Amino acid sequence: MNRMSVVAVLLSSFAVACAPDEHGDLRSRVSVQRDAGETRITFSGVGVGTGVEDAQRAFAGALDPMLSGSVLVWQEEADYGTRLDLLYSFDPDAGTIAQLVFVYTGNRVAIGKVHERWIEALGLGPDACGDRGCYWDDGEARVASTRRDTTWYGKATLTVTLDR
Amino acid sequence: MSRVQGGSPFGPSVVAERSSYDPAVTDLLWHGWLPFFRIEGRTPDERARAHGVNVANRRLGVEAYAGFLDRWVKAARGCSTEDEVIALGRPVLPRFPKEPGARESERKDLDAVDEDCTHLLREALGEVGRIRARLADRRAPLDVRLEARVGLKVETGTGSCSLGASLAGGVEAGCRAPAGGVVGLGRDGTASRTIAAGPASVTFGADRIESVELSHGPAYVRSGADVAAAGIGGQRALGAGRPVKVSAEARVGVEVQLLDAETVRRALSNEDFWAKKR
Repeated sequence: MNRMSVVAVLLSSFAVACAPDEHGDLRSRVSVQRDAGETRITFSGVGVGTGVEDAQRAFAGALDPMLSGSVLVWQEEADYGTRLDLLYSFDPDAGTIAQLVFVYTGNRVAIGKVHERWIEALGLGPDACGDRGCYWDDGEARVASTRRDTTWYGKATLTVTLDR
Repeated sequence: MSRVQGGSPFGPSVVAERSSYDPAVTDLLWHGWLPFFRIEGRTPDERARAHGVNVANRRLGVEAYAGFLDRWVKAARGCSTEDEVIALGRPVLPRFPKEPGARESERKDLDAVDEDCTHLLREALGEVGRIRARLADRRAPLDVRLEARVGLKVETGTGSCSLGASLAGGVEAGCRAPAGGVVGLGRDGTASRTIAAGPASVTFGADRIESVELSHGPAYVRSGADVAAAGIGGQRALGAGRPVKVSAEARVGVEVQLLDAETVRRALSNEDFWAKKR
């Protein structure tokens, strides 16, 4: 790749990252409920404990049969033009979601902005966050965590895990 | 919930969740996690050792899961249709049992390993998605494909007809009417009309221009709605007699899938070209 190509990629990445975000705002979709010491986080009304079929209906409508066992959202355009894959594990006894994992992929600037939105939505303070991500633990178990990974060529990933 | 009681160097007090997936749903050949060693009620040294073994066992489980995903991807690579890939089944994201009584620092150790598992699954899903895209002929931007065509052309005094077979698959046939232009039947069964003037020829589909081709000597370049191609071709007379002339045609070139505006938009927003769902 010649020098001009690298510059073009960098400029386009910043242009996308700095452009007005027309891809929605996750802060309006995330809800943190605290009832009697119990914390529950939902995204578009779906959280741990939601029935798998209800969750699939909420996100996907007609699901890809290949992905319906582990994916609620695949390749959705999300905040700042990032790509979102939403994976889940399920409790086979209850038929409900046991864990939600949001995986955002994009350039590092956009991923940084999405991360800031998640931190704001979850109400995490600076104590909960380090260089690579955040860890929210209520003393009993993990409630949620975030992790940022960046490749040497600028592609970045943000993983947000919700356990409650 | 299924639970497993296991023996250990720390005493017979291991309690952990067994992975209990519905095989009809998962088609998994992955045997779940190894059981945990109890960490509560031990001396600090024993607790640290038990936790270390638990983390190591979790890594082994992740490696086994990675092996399963690898087999799944390899099986997908061997499929010849997208439906065969779908029929292979699908992996699920496993549940991640926790150590009972673990402290926050201990929980973080296991959580870090679990996140690797999530990434492995996502990468495998992406790889299989690309395989499905290829099988369904959803071509990647800038995908380069060899194109080759051999054909036979029969010319009479009133017109000509040709019959060809291409590497892309299928047979194409066309006839030149006396009034000019070639009416053809493409490999996908659609009719087209080609009008040639000098070195240029334009092929029309049902409602649009399919491609424009320029030739100079044996070389040709072609531009279509979403592809560009270039190569060389020629023809050789097999027999010339009145009133019929028979000749063989051949051409070899490369075809490149162009970047359309939608693809560029997706690339800039980090979407993948193969995001299309069935």
